Amino acid sequence: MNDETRDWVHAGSAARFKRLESANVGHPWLLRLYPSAWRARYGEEFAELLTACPLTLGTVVDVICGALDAHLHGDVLLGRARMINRLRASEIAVFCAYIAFVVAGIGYQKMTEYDDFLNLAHAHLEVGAPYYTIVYTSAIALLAVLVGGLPLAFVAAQQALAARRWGILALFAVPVVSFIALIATIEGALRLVAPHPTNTPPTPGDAASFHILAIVFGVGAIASTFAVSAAIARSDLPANLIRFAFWPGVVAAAAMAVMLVATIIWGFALHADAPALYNGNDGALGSSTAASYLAIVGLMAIATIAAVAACAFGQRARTARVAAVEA
Amino acid sequence: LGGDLSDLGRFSDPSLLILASLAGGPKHGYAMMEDIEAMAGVHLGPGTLYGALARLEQRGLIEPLPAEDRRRPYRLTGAGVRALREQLTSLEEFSQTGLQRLREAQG
Repeated sequence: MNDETRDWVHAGSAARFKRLESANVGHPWLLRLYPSAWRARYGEEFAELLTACPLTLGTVVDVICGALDAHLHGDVLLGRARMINRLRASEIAVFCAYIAFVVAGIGYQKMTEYDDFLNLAHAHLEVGAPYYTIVYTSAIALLAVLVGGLPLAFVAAQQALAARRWGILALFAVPVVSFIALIATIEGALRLVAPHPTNTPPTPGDAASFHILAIVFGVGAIASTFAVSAAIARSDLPANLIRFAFWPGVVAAAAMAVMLVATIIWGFALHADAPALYNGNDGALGSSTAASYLAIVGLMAIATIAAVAACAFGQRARTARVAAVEA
Repeated sequence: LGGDLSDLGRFSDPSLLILASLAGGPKHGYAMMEDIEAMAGVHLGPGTLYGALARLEQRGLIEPLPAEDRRRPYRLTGAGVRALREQLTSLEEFSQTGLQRLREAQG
């Protein structure tokens, strides 16, 4: 499978065209004259058109000339479609990276929710400034993802409903089911774990509940991210919406980079101003704060690098498209 | 994006016909062929139609809509509307100049 064909597999056109071809619809022997990338993009609708047209000698000659043209000018004819699919792929990658960053951010939030950390942030500017930078920038990142992603998800769901594409609707149901499962698990854990005084070491019951919660949350987050990404990849979305979503994606990636730097500065400041706190055991389930912090920074760094690389990939697709048009 | 269709070679006339057809609303391939035949008396073959459609989409003058069954409708973009208006205005001026000259030659 070459690059061009792979791009269109995301939109489902190639798979639907293969089913059509195997069903012997639309004079497959005529369609096979066209390059595979062209068939992956236009094959399905072109086969439908051929089915509706009477097959005369004139039609056959016209299709042969069209196929020759597609072979000679394939790059030019498919450039825009390829750019749109690459942009879509880059936006999906930014979304996945953002969710990974959010998971790390939840870990950071849980670690710093104790009064000792909050009091330190209020008392020391060098700890407080990066801490509040993370808090406010996280709101900007969330807003950017919503501005870019919600219109895509809304249109994809609307189209799936109208076209009765139950598979896509099922994919959109995964985050809802995951959320319900998480709430049910939290409810169950609260019933099972007996209350005990704060600032005491976690009991085996706490640990078991935490592990179950972490598994449900992790599986739900991965499944939801994969499902929403697959639904967006398989939908026929308007090109203007996909182009629009690129810039919110860039804002989200930039916000992630700012938060990563702020988290690193916060760690250095914490180590300098309150080494006892840094070397304490306020990580997940009373584990080492320093180890939890390093794991959080590591995940944030991987997510940020992925998001920035995805934005660069999308920008290259846009630049290549502009260069092709100007040429 | 270029609104000039003259550099499309043998696809420039079919492209103008497609734009004019889509000015009446979104259409899929077969509906365009029928509309163009009724409007201009020109029969576009499937190969010519899709050669022109791909070029117009590439230039951002038309855009695909979600497929209905296996048919995919297309519609004009803002750039497509401007390009069509530019082309038709140019043709109108050409037509008026030609008619004026005929009148002068006969008068």
